[in-house]
Amino acid sequence: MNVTPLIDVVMVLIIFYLIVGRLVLERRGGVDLPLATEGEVEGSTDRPIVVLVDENGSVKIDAETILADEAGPMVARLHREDPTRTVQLRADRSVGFGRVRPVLGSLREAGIGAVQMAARDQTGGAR
Amino acid sequence: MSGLGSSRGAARSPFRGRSARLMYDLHHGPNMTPMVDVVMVILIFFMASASLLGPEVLLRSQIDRPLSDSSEAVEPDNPAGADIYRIEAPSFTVELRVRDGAVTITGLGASDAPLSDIDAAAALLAERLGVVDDVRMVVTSSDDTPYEAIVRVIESLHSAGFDRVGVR
Repeated sequence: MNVTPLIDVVMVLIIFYLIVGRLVLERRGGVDLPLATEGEVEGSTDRPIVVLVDENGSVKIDAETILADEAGPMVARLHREDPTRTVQLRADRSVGFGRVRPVLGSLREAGIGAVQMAARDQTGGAR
Repeated sequence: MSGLGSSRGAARSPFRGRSARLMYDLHHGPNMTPMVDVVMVILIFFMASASLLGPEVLLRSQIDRPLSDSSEAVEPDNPAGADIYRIEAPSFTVELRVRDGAVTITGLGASDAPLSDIDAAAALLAERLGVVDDVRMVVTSSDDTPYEAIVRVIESLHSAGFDRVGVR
């Protein structure tokens, strides 16, 4: 029995899932998102400016750890480069709002008037 | 070169002295079963972990100015000289606090009510108001309120029809 084609296909599948898993993990940044059932689904062509706030309250933009009050100027600069990009807030479900508020305040001072809060779909995609 | 092809080479089979496993490999190729077993397990592991990550949704929310910020004056209820026919869209505030380890809501007719009451309160208010498109909702909270409670309230307000939800 010739198993070479089978192994070719299976190896390609393994590499595909490896890369997908790595990309998704990188984007999640170790943040446990809150749960929700309502909300918009992100378009596949959107490239939002992602602001991460993890459970310890440390803030990251583009995998770079920054201070909460630096978020505004940095996001504003990215927003000027491409005004079509929306701002997505990915904060940990357990983090106190006292850690998120300075980030939002900094965004507001920089002229960002709205954010999209990311949540995990509780319905499991059954929509 | 004269020795080759003489009595030694002709009498000896080329397979002599090889083990049964080598003979099997020679005819059928190496045994792939253990490798395919391992590779399939790895494949299923990555497929399962990718599907566990699950889909996501986005909740739109405005960022309102903080209460302490006096640089942007709050518009008075009826400023002198204002166009009295201009009807300001009503604005409601929901305040979240942590009481004895549980998140409570104040506002929309509730006072230190459990977080789960927000669905009913928002639905009731939407029903009484009728048209809720212009209504502004503001969610405020104490510093120790977990972020998931805020998302819960925003989601509830969205599903009641309030599209203009802000946090501060």
